[in-house]
Amino acid sequence: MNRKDAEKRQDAASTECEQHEADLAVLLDGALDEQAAARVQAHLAACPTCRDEYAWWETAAAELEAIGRTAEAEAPEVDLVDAVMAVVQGREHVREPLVAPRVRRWTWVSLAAAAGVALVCGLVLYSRFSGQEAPEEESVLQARGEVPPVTAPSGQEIAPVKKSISQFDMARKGLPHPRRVEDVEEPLEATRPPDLAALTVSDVVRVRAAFGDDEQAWATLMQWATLTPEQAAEVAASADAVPDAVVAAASLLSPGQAEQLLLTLVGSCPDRAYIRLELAKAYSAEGRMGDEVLAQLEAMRELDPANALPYYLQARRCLKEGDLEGALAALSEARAMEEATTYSLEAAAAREQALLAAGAEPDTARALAAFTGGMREYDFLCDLGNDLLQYGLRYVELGDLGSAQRILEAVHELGSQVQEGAVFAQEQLAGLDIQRAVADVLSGLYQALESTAGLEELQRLTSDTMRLVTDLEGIRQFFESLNSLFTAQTEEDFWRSFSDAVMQVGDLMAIQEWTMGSPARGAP
Amino acid sequence: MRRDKSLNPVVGTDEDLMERLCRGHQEALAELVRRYQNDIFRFCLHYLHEAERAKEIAQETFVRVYVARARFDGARAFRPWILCIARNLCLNELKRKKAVPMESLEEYASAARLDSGEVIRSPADNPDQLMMGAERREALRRALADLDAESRELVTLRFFQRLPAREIADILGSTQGAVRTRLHRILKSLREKHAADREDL
Repeated sequence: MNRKDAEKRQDAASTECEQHEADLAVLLDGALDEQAAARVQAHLAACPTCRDEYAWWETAAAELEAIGRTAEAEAPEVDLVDAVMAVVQGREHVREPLVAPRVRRWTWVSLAAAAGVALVCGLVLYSRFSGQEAPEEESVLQARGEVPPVTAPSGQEIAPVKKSISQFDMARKGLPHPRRVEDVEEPLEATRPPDLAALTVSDVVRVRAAFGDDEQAWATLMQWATLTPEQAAEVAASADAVPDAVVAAASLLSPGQAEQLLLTLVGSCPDRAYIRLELAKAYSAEGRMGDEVLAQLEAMRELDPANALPYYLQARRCLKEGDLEGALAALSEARAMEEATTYSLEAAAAREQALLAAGAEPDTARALAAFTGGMREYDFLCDLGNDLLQYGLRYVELGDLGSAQRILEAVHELGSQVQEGAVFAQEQLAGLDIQRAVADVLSGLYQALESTAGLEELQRLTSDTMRLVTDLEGIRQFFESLNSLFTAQTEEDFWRSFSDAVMQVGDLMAIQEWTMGSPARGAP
Repeated sequence: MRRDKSLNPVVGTDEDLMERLCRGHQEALAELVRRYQNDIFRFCLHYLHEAERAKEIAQETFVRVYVARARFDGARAFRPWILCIARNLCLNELKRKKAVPMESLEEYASAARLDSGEVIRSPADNPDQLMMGAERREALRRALADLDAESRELVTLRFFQRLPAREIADILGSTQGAVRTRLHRILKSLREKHAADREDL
């Protein structure tokens, strides 16, 4: 027999093996029907390779099961009856709180499972978002970013990262893009309610339910939730306004006015990292990047040592001033942290207070603040990520690839920390968009590094980017669950409870609680 | 329809008990706790690796069953439903406590392995099987250590917990076919890893 024939025969054999492979998995599970089992057994008898493979699986399966049995045999017995019944009987008369332990890190595995429960319970009907056309911009970052000026050396394959990025972009379509109120054009004047005090929860829910069909709905809701400059000035000047209301109002005034107000507030509430962050933002908006900003960032770090955000802000400031060494030091500190948070729950609470102070009904103020939670943070975080990304690109242009790599990898980490620290879906989306944008640039950079290490990084980046696609699918499921709530529920009572929950734990947790654990409130 | 009120509440299927619970018979919950407490506790232990925490979460699982009782779909099986609740609580707990979740599965496996004198059956017509049990187990352990968290969870559910693919699919919100395909890939990769290991030796 010549070599060609031998190869042909081998090909035919391996194709046959492939055909049986899937059945082998079912056979191992003991779930193959008689006919198919007979076919597979016949193949096993004839094919030593598959026989060998299957025997290995069987043994490995038996061994793994034995490990499980041993562990189970060692586990103590428990008796939970009394404890469970005591809790349950105690709860009979108590209104079930929707509060969950605050989960700072979030993976989509559990959310997908929660969505699964919702499906089982027949709550999720269909999504109005799924049919939505993608906005013209892929993402804030992508729209503002530039094509990385790095070229791949010939012969190296960059397809894997690019492929996952394009999968990400496909999956990103149809998901909401929060927009800045100031970016939205004319029609808003018409949608602003004549009187904030007359606005009801039903009005808010109606606009929110239109998110899938009406691109303006996002902007409308955001505008309703944002005071006019006149209202903000009035709230800020009011003697009765609580500090939170003033913080939210200050962010709508000129940076100079905001600085004055926030400085006073920092004096009276020195322990609140959120107010210090707002003050640092006001300083930056004024173009002041000196010691005042540093002092606020320093105070934030002391008040909330686990938050990476002040380090990134400091790095941005250093890069702006050309202090590369200082920036790299801050970035390496930032990367050692687990999460980056913008205090979005506090920001939502502050917005609620400002709306109240401006005369909104309490339920309306709460619903507006809850349903717009995380939207401003999306812009802020994407801006931060984008600024750092642009500085990274500048060092690429300067030929300092080492520094560029450190900056860009830190941006990637920022995205993942934002994702971890997110309590609102919009923040999580910001984390994903940042990672996606920087993956694009980093893949080019790793190509340009022309080293084994570069290739290894590239592989890591590919698997990271593939994970982003999965996480994005999780967000999609989240939005679908949320949207079906908004289209199925019209009871104001339900929306009161739901906004309470969102204000306490963020929308990510609130919907999970609602779908899997809390008592039925107007559930079908 | 099994609606016979003369039935003692401690008999009947799990689904019957859920129906009774929905009608206000709390004794049905006590029976469900008796039936499932050890299963749920061990299930949680697989995720949490700490008896006290596993016990707390197991208890919370039954409280959630009670709280969500009205949303239980009587047409579906009870067991995957409660396992799904337990799993969500475990994952939340892991996130909250920032513990290492499935990564410690390897330690767990090796701890169990140390105590296990069990001889693993070996089909006789396979040369691979002549390999000493200890070496094989060691290789398996090394290969397990390299799996990603999701694959480890699948191995735990399918082999350690010995759940059928159908229930795993219900718990994970996936399909039987997808679960089998993934398990099949995991087994293949374990084998490849194992083969590579032997070449290294």
